[in-house]
Amino acid sequence: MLRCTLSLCLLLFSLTARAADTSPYAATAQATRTGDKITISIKITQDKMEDVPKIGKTKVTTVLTSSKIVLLVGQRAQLMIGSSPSTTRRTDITSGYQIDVISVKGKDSLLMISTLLDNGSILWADSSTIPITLAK
Amino acid sequence: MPNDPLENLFQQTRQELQSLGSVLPEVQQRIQTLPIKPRSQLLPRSIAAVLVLATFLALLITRIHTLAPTIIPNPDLHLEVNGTELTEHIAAILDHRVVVVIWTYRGHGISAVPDTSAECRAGKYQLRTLHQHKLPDGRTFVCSLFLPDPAVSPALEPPSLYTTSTNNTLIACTTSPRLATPAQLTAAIQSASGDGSLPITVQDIVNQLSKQIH
Repeated sequence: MLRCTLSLCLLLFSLTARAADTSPYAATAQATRTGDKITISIKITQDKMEDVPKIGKTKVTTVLTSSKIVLLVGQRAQLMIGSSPSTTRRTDITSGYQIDVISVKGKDSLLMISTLLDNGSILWADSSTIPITLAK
Repeated sequence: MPNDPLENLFQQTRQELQSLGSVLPEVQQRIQTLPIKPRSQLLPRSIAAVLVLATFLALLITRIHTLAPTIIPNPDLHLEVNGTELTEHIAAILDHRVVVVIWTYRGHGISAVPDTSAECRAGKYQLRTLHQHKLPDGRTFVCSLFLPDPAVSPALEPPSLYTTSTNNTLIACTTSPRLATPAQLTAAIQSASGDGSLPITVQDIVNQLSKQIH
């Protein structure tokens, strides 16, 4: 009986720990190549637990930003969307999203690094390899 | 009067005429035996040749005119974010240090940063908009100048283009600067303008650049 209770507690603990590790943010992308041009469609989403009428607490996915980048093979593109402190004559984006896409010549995949910034601090970052499909 | 000399002469002529047969059948026979000569083809052939030549020349002239923009290079980068389009046509390193970027943008309530009359700083660069004007297709043509801080290499730490919207959201994209010839810069300006025109010349850029540096 004691062994059974202990196992159950451990299971609950591991499940809670896993849930805490899961980030509410996610970046997804699709890349297509036409000649020497690569078109990448990118979405950054956020999962939130929200009270939905008649359903109750449920996970809702919100698209934070959706963008399309067209770059040449073997090039790099860095996109930032956000705001800058308006008190200075500086134009650096300190809060928002940053997406860095790197294409390596001869490789059929892209490297994508997504970052979420808040007042100059990184709240979340993720890197992924995006396969490139040939346009028909 | 039977002894009238004139009447005698007429009588004699009538008799001679009666003795003569008609030569018409012989003439008709000779015509039928003659070979029919083909009509001369020179004139229609000349007209056809002139028409073909004129069509070929017209096609050639049209083709040359249509082909002209295709020698202009593709844009280096194109972005579409939240209804804003931003295209970098060229980011050229001039004088081994300064970066000139020819770019266009399109979007409701969007403007380039900084304004044409102003300057601002971003990262390790001083930004200046040398020229901007609205194109007939709704895009805005922009020529931006980026002066790096000392010891900053544009190839390793490239500058970024900035646009701002009415709700103060900034969209920035990092450029890919490279060495470019004046011809490449001119081609990129023509490509950005859409109709092959030159809203700003390389000489204008160089003049403004020397003013800026001094």
